[in-house]
Amino acid sequence: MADLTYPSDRRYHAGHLWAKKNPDGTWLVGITDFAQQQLGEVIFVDLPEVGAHFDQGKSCADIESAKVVSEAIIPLSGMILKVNEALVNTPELLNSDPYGEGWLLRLAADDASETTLDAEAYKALLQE
Amino acid sequence: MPITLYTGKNCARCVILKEYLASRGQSFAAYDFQDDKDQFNPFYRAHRAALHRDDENRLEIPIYDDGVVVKQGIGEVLAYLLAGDALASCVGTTGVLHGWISNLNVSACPAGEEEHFLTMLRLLTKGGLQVILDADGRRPELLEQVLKEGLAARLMLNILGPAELYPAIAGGPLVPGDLKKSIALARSAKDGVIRILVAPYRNSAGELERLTPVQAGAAAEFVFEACADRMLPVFIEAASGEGLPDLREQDLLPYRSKVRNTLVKAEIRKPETH
Repeated sequence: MADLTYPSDRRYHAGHLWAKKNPDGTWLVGITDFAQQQLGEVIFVDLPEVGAHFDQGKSCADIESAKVVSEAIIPLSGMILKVNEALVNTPELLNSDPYGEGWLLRLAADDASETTLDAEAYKALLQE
Repeated sequence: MPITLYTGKNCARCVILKEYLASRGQSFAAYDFQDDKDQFNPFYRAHRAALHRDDENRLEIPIYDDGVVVKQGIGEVLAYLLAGDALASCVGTTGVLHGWISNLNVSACPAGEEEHFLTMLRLLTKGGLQVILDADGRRPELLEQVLKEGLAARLMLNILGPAELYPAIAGGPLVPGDLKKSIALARSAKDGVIRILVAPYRNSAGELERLTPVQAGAAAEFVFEACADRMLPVFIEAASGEGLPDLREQDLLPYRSKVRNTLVKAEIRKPETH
């Protein structure tokens, strides 16, 4: 776990997804380094419909590896504005670049003050 | 058509399939579903809707692809190779529990397919798997042959309802004489369990429903008429079904009451993981 990284420029949820605020006020959402390691190599991502709304803590996507199917737990309530179409043919981006090219979706958050974790708190959670 | 297999490491059921294809002189390409990602991942993305996982989301292997059909799990694949679709009703998701294979139903074997069914069990047991065989009272003569050859490590005799519901639930009628023989075989089997299975089924209107406690009681009377033994050790077990809420142990208490009116030793049994 020592090699895994958790950038401090974003917020985290106990469901192992992150949310990073864009300059335009929308939020980019993806899975954490810990999540991608636990999943193993991702072979398929079942992404949500643009326009769909999810409450914080609900599953918004299925991420499938050869060994497991995992639900992606949305870190903030909001409406899906865009999904990462690159994941359709290259889902392994979730493993190779979980904080960059492997982002899952762009979100219009209902309330950015919803409870989330900073990087240190998330790391502490993983140590429990 | 070229045959492609997707297999795993230390997979006895994958070895069974490879050896069977080799014995038929059929060539195939085999890829490890975790290591050979360039082959497996595109296949998975193209066929994932047709593939299933177990309760713990594990992918069942081996997977067979001949360019026309995709079959998954050693039971389903062997049944297909032996008999096309004729044995499809006998084979369900066979699970991935190490060393065991389940969801093989002797009672659903169509007439004329007995030898294929037996061959399938022979291949599985010869390959080192322990077969958990399901029966529902029908086809006792085939069940007897299976037991005689030692092809089932465990037998689950599932009483699916009273006689009048058997066509709807099991897909065919059950006559008392066959039930009597099947009960005797289950009692003589080394590891035989007789259970009244509260399973979902589609009624004549096409709606999904479950056996009611009263119907379970009628099933118990049907059993008693066949075996004339009120002390028959029998269990009551719930089977999960898509679209219906799972039954908890306390939900089965009314079933037990009705069944015990006839079969006094009836007990509730929790589903096993295999």
